[in-house]
Amino acid sequence: MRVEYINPFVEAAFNVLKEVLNADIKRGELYLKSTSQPVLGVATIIGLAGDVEGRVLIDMSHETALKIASEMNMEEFKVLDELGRATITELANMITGQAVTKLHDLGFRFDLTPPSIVTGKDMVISDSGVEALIVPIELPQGKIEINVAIKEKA
Amino acid sequence: MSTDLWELKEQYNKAENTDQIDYKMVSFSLGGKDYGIDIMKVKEILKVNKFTYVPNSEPYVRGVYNLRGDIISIIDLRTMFRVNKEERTDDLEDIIVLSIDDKRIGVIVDSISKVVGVQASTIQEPHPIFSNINIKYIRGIVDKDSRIYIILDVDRIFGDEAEEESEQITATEIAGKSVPGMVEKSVYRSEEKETDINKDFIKETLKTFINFHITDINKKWFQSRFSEWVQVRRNAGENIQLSGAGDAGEFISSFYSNNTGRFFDQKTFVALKKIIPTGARGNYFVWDIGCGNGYETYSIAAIVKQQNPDAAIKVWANDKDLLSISNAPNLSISTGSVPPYLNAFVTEGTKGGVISQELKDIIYFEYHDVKNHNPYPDVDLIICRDVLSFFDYNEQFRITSEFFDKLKNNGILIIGDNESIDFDGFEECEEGGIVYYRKNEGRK
Amino acid sequence: MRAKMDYPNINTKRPDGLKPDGTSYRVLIVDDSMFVAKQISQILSSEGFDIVGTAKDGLEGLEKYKELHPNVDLVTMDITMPNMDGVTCLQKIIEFDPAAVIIMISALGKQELVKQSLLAGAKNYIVKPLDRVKVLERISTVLKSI
Repeated sequence: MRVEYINPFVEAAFNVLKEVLNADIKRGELYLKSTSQPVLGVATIIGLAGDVEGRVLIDMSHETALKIASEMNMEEFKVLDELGRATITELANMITGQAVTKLHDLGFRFDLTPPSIVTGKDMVISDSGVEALIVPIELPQGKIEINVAIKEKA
Repeated sequence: MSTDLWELKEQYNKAENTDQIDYKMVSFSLGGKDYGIDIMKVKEILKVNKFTYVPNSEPYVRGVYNLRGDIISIIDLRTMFRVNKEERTDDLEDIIVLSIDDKRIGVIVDSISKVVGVQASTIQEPHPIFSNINIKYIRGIVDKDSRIYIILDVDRIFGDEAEEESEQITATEIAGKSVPGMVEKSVYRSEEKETDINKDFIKETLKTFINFHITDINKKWFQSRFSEWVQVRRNAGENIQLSGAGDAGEFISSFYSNNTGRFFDQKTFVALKKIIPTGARGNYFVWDIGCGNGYETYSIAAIVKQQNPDAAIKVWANDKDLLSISNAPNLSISTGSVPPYLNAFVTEGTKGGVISQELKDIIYFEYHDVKNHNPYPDVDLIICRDVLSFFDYNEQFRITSEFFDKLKNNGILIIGDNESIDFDGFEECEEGGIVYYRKNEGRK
Repeated sequence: MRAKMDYPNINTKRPDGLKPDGTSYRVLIVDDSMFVAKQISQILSSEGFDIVGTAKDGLEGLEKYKELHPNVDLVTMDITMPNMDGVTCLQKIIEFDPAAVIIMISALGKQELVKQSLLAGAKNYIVKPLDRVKVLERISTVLKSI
């Protein structure tokens, strides 16, 4: 992935999470993964288009998703219902939206497609084999991974 | 714990999912570590408390034992390998009876555990770090269920080969005669063998500490570097062996290609001018792997651009070191360090020189691991200096094949100054001291 | 000693959601995210606004507006929605009712669309994540200027 794209995503994730959850956020070391299959249980995917092709995937465990939804709605979620999923989706939107804005300021034209959220049982992501950048983030609610796979349009 | 080998096997068969297991061993503990011996070499296991002591024998020979009429020697592995014996509450010893070259030998261990099955392909090369016994006696290391087992090569320890210079322990000799037994140091006394062993150790250490692999690709460099190293260390009265990452780094310091960490010098430019084609009018694509902080990339891009001013040039530069490559797009240049051929592409910034936008526009720096799938189209030129040596043999082969497929016909591959490949379809050429490989589809 | 709150406060702030005559402003929320719709609803209700309807996309939004008209004082419009996006819905509502008061709710990354909306007649915009103070401020500014 182009090095210029990296910081916007890292910063956006950090800023949004800090603001929305108002908590101590720790960023882990970035690394590359050879297949971009999500692994933790709840994955929110936002497509990227424009100068590039790709997607951003916010990956977290079911438990973490519940805790985050609970925090953002100020009520306890025992099940990830429609409102819970809408909450997580909105979080992904905000992170990706901010990243894209920063990229725009750097001169890169990215478009976002509407998000979709997939949970454990129906995980079928067909882009395995594509290299992804992983930004691991440690929250009080658990760990989440921002998983970005981008390639330039030929 | 069972003293019956048959019973141990039964327990194993019940517990184990036997898919893909093609190597079984009897595991035991010795000096606090887990070991294994190939089950094919194990005749039976015993718990015994009485041996007939044999005078004038090596300290590790505890005596002999009458096993249903067969007199077998009992060797204490703890003494032989110089590890502490574990305390026992009973006055018995755990003994594994080995069957080696038609002889039977009993070895005392701290405690026999169970039969362990593994996939033979997962057994790794031994390394001094795992055991304080001589590496010659270790067949390999394997891990299973979170335990690491050191697999002993009992043939080497007790077999005929090992007794080149010693006499066999036979029942007749036991009666009062001195039994020279085996010496713990390597019995391969000739200097050649010793050099081979030293080389092997160094290769292992390079792999372990800095992930540098000696294979055909760099063995020529290694041979000469090794001789040089031995000389230097011996003269300084120091150990040849590499004690850590620092030593390892020093060992490979002579490996790095010319122009590492800086722009290609003018001399290199002159040679490359003869290698890189001129006057291209369509696309000219370059793939630079392991570009670090970009010096190599800017140098190549400048040369290609100069030679092909009308071509649509794209240079994809990768590195998996995030820190170096993040700095590449904004590399700042001290004006003294710019070789003449690069001047046209350097502009004066407020804080020293910067690469001109014209050159920056044709380069894409990407954080990418060459092991992973890449989305690039076929390219005309691949630069991959001092990278392949940091992969194991299989990866080296796979990546070289990928390079072959990615190059257009007549495309060029340049690797490290001290690396060389022999790959069907790549023709080795040389120009001005630089070795390069041309893809020649006709030869494949 | 008498504390500040014991005195009658002649400067009690009137809740943002109440018109000068004491009735509530009526709001239609158009947003495809259940979470965002809920947030806006909570913020506004707590200030006295009356949420008279919610819609999940532009089509539904247009329909509801036509149904409720003229009993809608304000529309909050999400920019990206399926079936009919916020900008198109905005245009259609204004076609139907040139006096419609519409505020866009936008995620970052959609600057172009926000500009388009303003040119098409949106009164203002609010960027997510939604901040209670910011939301109320923007909306009050808009309502005062009508």
